[in-house]
Amino acid sequence: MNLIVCVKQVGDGSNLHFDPEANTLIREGETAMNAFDKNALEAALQIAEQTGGTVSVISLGPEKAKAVLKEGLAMGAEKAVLISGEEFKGSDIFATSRALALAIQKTGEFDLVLCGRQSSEGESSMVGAGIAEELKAPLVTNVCAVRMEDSASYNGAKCGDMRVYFEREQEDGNQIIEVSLPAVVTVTKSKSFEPRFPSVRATMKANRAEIPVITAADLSLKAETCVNLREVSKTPPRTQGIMFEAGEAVEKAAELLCRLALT
Amino acid sequence: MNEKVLNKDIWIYMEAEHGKIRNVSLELLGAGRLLADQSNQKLVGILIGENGKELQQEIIARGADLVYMAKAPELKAFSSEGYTKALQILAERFHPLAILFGATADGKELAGRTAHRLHGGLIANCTGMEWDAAEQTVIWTACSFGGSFISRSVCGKQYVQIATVRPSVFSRPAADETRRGEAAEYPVAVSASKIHTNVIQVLKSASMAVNLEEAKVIVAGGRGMGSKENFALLEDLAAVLGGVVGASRAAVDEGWQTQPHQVGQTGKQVRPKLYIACGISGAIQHLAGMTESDTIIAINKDPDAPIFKICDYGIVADAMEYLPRLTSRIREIAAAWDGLLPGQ
Repeated sequence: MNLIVCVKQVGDGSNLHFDPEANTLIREGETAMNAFDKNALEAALQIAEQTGGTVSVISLGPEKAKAVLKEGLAMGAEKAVLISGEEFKGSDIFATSRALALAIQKTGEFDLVLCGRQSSEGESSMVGAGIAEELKAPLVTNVCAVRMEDSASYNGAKCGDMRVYFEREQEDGNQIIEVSLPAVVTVTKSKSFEPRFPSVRATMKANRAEIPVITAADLSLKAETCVNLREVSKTPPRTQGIMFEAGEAVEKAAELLCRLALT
Repeated sequence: MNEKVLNKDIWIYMEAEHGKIRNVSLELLGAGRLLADQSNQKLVGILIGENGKELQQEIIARGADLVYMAKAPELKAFSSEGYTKALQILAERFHPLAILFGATADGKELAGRTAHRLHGGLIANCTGMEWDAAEQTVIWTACSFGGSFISRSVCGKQYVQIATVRPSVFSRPAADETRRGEAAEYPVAVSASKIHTNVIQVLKSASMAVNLEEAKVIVAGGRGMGSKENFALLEDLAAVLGGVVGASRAAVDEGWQTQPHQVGQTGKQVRPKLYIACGISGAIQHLAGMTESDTIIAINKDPDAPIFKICDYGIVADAMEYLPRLTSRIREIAAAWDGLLPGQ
């Protein structure tokens, strides 16, 4: 089973500014793998352990995004590839999804593509859907658990006789969804997918790994962006309001809450 | 040379669940009405399913000029593959200027697939839209990075413009039963063999089915609540206020609440009218999920807790000792107000 996990390097949100010339946000300071992407990678590693298979990590970003791919290798992915180049600066959701999907196709056969539910930066939750669309694959979002069953009678799945069930968080309750492979899923945080810590040895080995880079030319991709940012500004911060003294707090707060809840 | 097709009209995807339209879709009819008036376009409610006749009047009463219903037996249950196909058929026939979706679990799947299939411009988590008459285009406002950045964007005119909007960003317009509009049904050919997902079960336990995104009041607890048992105090307060219980990451990681209740960067992003943070210190990852709330009340025994820097009302108190007194006082007031509170 070939599992491909899309990972994104994100900043910690503390030091961001907008570059209007390049139409892009510049992040400085600490970076890390997006939290939900770690859950997705953990899910992939568990599925690979259960079914036998290879986990690859792929990212779109600048050269320094190799750091998150190395983190992925250290956690247990076998292969890593970076999509990078000037053409990808300021990529919108469409451009990002297309580049990732074309790169996934280029790397060969896949059974399952996993993404995090959303990134802590763009928060769109849309790239997984874009990849599914580009790959013409079914999509299950907000996955919080996976179950696999052998079934000789099942002929929808490509990987042997595997039935695959995903549990999906939805507003009206969690759904159990049966899906045929190949498929794209987005993974949310859950107890089942608590990311493992890499060993020191695995981290050292990953740090020495050479990460191949795919360019827009390799994908025969013409950079095209449908959405153009006009301006980006910081939200004015909330300011501290009224502090109640301990003595008066019950009476005042109770009246306040009643008023607020009624309006 | 292709004939130039002029995109027109503002479409709202009307998400229905159990024969009822979701609140967020109704909210979008209000925002969509304003945009349609500014741009001199029609506002169209889009229904997809097996049957939806009984929903059409409400969509018109809340502001739509037209209702288009894509119908097929294969569309009885939501699937992003089936519903995207249905939307594609409608969009290729009528060429909408923009399509708006509620940012629900299903709405986001559908918006993402549809935008990509139609090669549209996609704005996620839109918080405002205005018509620029000079440029004859929509200027979209959206927030990202946990509400800390606001962007303004435009889409190239050759693209259909697609936006998702979180619940409670806009207010629901009142229903005007005297409004008149037209509804049209379009049978669409959707092949069951092209739908590869199948919902075989829904786990409807109370701990799973929580709609924090549409809640008007959220009572949330953090590490300062001390134990799973103490979350009952939050349940009590939420019950009298007609709200639901949320939790910080720390409380979920401790096992005091289930994951669907988590508010923050790795949980839900909410914007209730009232957010009551109990025993939550206010880490930046938590604020990323609730800073858009209308009113924030914080209860914490640490006077230096960062949550006090961003709250509208702060109470320095031990939540375990304070909450029972507060809840009981609210009950008294509510009784005096003759059960006017939604939770009563």
